[in-house]
Amino acid sequence: MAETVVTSEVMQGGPLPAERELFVNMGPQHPSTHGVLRLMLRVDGERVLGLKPDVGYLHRCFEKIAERRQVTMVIPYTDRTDYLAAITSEWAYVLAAEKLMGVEVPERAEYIRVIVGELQRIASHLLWFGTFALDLGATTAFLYAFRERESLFDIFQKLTGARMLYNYLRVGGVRNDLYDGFADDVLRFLNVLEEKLREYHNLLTGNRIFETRTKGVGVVTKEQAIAYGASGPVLRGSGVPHDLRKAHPYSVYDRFEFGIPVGEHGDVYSRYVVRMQEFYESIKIIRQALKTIPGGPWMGDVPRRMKLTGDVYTRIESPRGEVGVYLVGDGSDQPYRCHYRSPCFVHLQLLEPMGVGHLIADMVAIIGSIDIVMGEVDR
Amino acid sequence: MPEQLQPLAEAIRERFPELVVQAKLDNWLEVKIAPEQSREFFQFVKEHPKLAFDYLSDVTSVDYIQQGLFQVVYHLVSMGTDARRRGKLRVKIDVPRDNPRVPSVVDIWPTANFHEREVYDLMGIVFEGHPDLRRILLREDWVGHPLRKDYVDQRPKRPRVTR
Repeated sequence: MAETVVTSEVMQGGPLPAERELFVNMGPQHPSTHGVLRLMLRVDGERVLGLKPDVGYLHRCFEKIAERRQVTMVIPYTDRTDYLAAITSEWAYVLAAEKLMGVEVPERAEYIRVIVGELQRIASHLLWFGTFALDLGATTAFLYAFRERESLFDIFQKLTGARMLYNYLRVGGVRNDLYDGFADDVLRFLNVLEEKLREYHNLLTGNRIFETRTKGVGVVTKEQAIAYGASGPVLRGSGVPHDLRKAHPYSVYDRFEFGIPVGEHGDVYSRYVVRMQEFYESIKIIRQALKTIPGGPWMGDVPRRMKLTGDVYTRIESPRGEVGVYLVGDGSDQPYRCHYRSPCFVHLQLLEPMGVGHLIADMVAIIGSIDIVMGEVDR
Repeated sequence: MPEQLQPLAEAIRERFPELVVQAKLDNWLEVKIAPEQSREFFQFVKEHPKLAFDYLSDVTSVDYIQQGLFQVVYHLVSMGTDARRRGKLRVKIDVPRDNPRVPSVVDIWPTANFHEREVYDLMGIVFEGHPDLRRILLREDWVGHPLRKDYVDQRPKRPRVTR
């Protein structure tokens, strides 16, 4: 029974598979699909002829649950959407709630959010780097990246109490102030990171095998990227210099000087280059923020009983791309509708145009270059 | 209305004088259209040189059960223009709850494919002209559309085991 359903979906009413064509499942249990992603592949030997992603294995009804929780109670759920970049996931939601309620966030809290957000970007990119290299066979990179992540986890744990899913941002600010010694810890980490980035580049960039596996693979043209709603490094890798922190600045990002790395060819290698460069840009932002962070409260004036009215759609730049939250209020303290726009959900549509014609092994590189997190795709 | 949004609103009203274009929170232009004018309207805002809404950020839906309608909400952004003219447009389409059908925009913005499938899956709104309208997040044999306010889980209740 399952077989007929799947085959007819893949064939889309076309002719029965020819003798050379094979239907192969990649996932949902697969070491290189980064979570529970199922790709229905039509292959001729190793060459991919057609591809359909099948998602929903991690669907946890986030949007329905959010309709039955008070405003602040939704925040831990947002953590668990993009669980590798929990701060940015919370940020999109908290920003939407603040706009609906007209709450002003004090400057110190904004600076804290930027610092923590950029640290989160570094953590997320480290994991991407490690798993991407691991998928291609470079196991050492994985261990190196996770060593750096441990230092970040220590900092996050001291600050928020948690290593990965923080529940740290609040409507109107952050849950608690920076601890004494935070700046020293972070600056020390950034110095170490810069050294380690040289090691990482030594491992991969310029490596002949790595370049053969990534250059010219999974190309997305500029027009395709915009038409398919790509964002973040996927969009920038194709040559579109669009970063929400510059195009529609939120929080205090307009006070910092940083660049937007843009790729040239839209292939896996370009996206790799973009993310590697983003490490340096994040380091720049954090150093500037730590230098100029003002004193003051870390939580704004928020009414005890929150009331959401109206609707708003806020977008922020997460490590994966544009995260959007469409929040609708009905005058009560619970969202009437909370929709979470996930960048990876949209990028999955690009897998077919990117992958057709390539080998299954190239699919692994392509999936890695999109940096998928299924928690965000399925919510 | 904020200054930067004026020319965009005027461009829309020039072609569709009957539409009400509002400026909402966070510099979003908002307009409500009828399902019948959807395709014409979307083609227009994408191709008009002053509007150039070439990037569809999101398609989502809200269940206004009290008013007996679903609302499909599109969020459009202009990517290819220079920063000063970058506009943000929210388009809302109301459809009756008993027959929710809206034209698909997949051929205008290919990114709409998965978004419309998700709206169909969770809210039950049918997108006419969609090349592959089937469930995306839930199992293909799921009954019902969970995001609806009157959704009741149809699955048989399992007996609770305490030991």
